[in-house]
Amino acid sequence: MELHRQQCQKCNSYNMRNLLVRVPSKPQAVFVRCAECNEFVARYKLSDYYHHGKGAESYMRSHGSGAADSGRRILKEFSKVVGDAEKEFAEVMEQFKKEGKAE
Amino acid sequence: MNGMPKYLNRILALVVVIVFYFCGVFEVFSGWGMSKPVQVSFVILLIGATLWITEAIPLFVTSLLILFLGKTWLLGVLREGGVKISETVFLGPFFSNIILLFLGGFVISSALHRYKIDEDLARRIITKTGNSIPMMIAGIMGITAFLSMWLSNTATAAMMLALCIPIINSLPADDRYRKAILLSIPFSANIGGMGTPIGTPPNAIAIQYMQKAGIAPSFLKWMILGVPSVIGMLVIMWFVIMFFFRGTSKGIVQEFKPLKTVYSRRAKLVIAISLVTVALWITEPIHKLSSGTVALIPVLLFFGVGFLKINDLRALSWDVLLIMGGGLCLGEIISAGGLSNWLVARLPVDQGSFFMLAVVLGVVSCFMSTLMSNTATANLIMPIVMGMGLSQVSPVLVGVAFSCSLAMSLPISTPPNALAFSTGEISVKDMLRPGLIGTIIGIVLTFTAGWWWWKIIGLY
Repeated sequence: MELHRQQCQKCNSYNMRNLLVRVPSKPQAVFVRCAECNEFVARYKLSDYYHHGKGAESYMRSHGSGAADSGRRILKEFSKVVGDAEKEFAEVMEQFKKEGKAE
Repeated sequence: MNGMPKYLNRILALVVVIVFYFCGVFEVFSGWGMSKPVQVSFVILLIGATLWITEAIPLFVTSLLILFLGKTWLLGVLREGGVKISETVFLGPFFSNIILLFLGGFVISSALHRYKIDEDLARRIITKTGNSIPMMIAGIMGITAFLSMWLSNTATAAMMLALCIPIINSLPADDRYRKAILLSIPFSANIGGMGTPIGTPPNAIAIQYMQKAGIAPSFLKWMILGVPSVIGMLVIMWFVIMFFFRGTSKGIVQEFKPLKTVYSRRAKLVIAISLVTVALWITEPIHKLSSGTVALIPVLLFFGVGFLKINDLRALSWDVLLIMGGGLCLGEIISAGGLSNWLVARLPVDQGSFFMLAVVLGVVSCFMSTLMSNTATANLIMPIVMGMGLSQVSPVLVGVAFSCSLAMSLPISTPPNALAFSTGEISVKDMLRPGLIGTIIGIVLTFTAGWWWWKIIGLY
């Protein structure tokens, strides 16, 4: 695993602000702006956005899902998304600590 | 609910499916007076039931497996026996009028959602009724049910939940109205589905079988039999929710800003095209164009003029259409294989037990739908109803369709229930108590007042 902290190319700050853009029928995009000098830093597109702490309805809406047929499957799949995201985040933080990059 | 590991569930289902398959291959059911084709169709029914009930594989994959078995196994057995049958018999259900009707519904839903017309309507209702929370809940239930008559229940519930969660969060943490608002959304989305043929897949599946029997109600007639049920059930569920979750807050201050997208020229055209499509569906007996053909109009216009893009087409719920197609294909398999005739010859069904049979099937459907997909339940029960050789099949099919929509007591019962539950604001018990009461009252009303109403409007 390779980890990087995003850094402003202009003022070298690590303090970033993410702007989430959602346009119907397009992949969601995130524009990263430096919170110190407002410089445009990066843009990336999302394939599987998940906002921790929000419910399955938020997850489904951000993925443009329309009809669904099984309540059981929705709960199972969402529970897997949450579990995977939490596990991956914990791994990333662990790696961060090891590399001495944690704040 | 999640006690059994997924892989174990899959392995068990696979073992059962293999056992059923070999039962068919070695003609184990010959002792029941079943010919080879009847046994094959019976085994395909058992395999479909096992996989739809356990959800060991995605529901749409089961549908495709049914098609595969029909084409590769039953077709061969029938042809060996000298029956002349085309494989289009099994392929046809996947692109029938009813699938087109649903496709049109999905496209309208996608367009309304893209231009946030559904959301704008909901915002207006909430703003107008927000002074009193019981009135606001009535407004939320009314608009959710209305939208889910035309859009998918799941999409409607997701949109309404997103809109109402900030309202819920603005209430004190111990206010029971929080739960009331949250529960009102999935319940009314489930109920609203009963109102139109495109409200929920079980309605469309029932209509397809009725069409096959030459007795299908028109779009308008379905609304005449469904909308009173929707209104009646909404009123009952409002009282049930108020009984369990009456809170203390007086009202909310929620002024939604107008959505700019709704006032664009394109959005107005989307509304106009959607209304024209609905008008054509309702006037089907006058112009004689089938509802499936009419459903092509919004598909052609929205994609033709670029209101919707290729990505919107890709995002349509094709899996739901495949699940419906698989159920209808199973019906063809049961009919072509002779299982329906075998059932007719053995089931002691007469006019005297006709009503009781409808009640039993309704209760069974409701029980199954509480634990599994409504569409899969309709897919399994309706072909069997058709195979019983009843003289009056319509009220039984409508009863089964309504019973599927009325199953709403558990988080897994329907996708809207699952979405509301996933917010973490309500427990299983919170959903179970009002949901179960609503389900029981709904079933009783369906087979009393509903049965009487269907006779008055000439369904049977």
